[in-house]
Amino acid sequence: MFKRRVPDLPGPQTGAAGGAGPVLQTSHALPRLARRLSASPHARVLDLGSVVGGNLQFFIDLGCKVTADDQQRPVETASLTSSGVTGADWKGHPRLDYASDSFEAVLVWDFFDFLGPQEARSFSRDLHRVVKAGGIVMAYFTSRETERREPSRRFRITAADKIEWIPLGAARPLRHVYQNRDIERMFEGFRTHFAVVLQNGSREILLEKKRPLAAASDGAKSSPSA
Amino acid sequence: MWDKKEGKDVAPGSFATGTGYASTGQSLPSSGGNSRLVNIGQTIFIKGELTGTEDLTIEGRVEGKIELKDHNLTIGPNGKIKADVYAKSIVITGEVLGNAFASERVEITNSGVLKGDITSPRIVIADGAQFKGSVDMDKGAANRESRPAQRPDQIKPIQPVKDETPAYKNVMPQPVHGNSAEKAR
Repeated sequence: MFKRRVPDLPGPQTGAAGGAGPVLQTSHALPRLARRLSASPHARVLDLGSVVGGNLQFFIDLGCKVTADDQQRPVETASLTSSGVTGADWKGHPRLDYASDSFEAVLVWDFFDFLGPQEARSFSRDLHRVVKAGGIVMAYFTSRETERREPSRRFRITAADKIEWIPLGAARPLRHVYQNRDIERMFEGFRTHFAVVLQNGSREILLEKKRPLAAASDGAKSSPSA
Repeated sequence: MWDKKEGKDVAPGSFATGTGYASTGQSLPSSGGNSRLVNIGQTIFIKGELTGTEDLTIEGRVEGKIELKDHNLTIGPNGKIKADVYAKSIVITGEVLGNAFASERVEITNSGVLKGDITSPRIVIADGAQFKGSVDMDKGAANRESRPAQRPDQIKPIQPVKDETPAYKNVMPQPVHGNSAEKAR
């Protein structure tokens, strides 16, 4: 009756010491996202992760128009060019140079793990701006302190419900661990559409941008003067 | 016996299709096509419009516009392009700042950098490639971009497209109910 979520491939587990090889994880959020996108014709998807051709192709096959913007490049470069534990924060301020309400979905992957609270808040506001009402943000968040030293990863979609997590380099850029309440505060203007804790401890979350009507009614309830 | 390429390589008119002088550097015969491959060397800098009717490899710098109708363009590892690029097939191993329009295929290798949009029916992007831009796989769009607009009498009515179900839909798992979803809040 109860279904355990275990990695499909045998291999090094991603523990605190950090597994070396890629691990295939079952994704419960991706099929939901895919169903939603395939229902809306010509949906626009923004992929903020490392560029992986197969990921773009997956969404193109769903009929989406895909935009790639590798925001994680500095983290990836640092991971590939250094070793040991590096600084916690992503240096700089990530920005999305896109018009407001441009995308039906944004794939953030685990980028927020590398952002400090201030940058994360500012970046989530930027996300809120570029996502259409009812649009979805897909993100992973590390949930255990012991996984703060997990290497940065590249994510490759291998099937409709399978994502390969590929560790990059020898460096261990320290990750931030955000609690659920931090995420809720960070993503003001979004609601949690779906969330699940994976076997490796990461949380896989779909956040939906509130629609204007719902947002307006929420606002009216909380503060009638506003 | 089965290799049809053998009969094609030495077609008499093959070298007459391009002048070969618009480009610089060494000229090499192509591996099996009906046009030769021309190389723009590392020290060459071209500013303006580059057009041709033969395959081209660029190792130098080009700013402006590159148009190779029905031919292949390769941006070598040292190539730096600041231009919109039109070709049949485009392989990017160097750096391109501009939009890529291909009637057949665009490929970005793992050392390739493209900051611009891609319009092509087929796209290959290697892991680790740097790409910032949108992908439009509208077939024929690249041709429309580089060719003059059709006269109204030439325009054919749009045929209804058969609704094709993506392969992913067929294997998409059903939603898991009950204990499976653990809400974050």
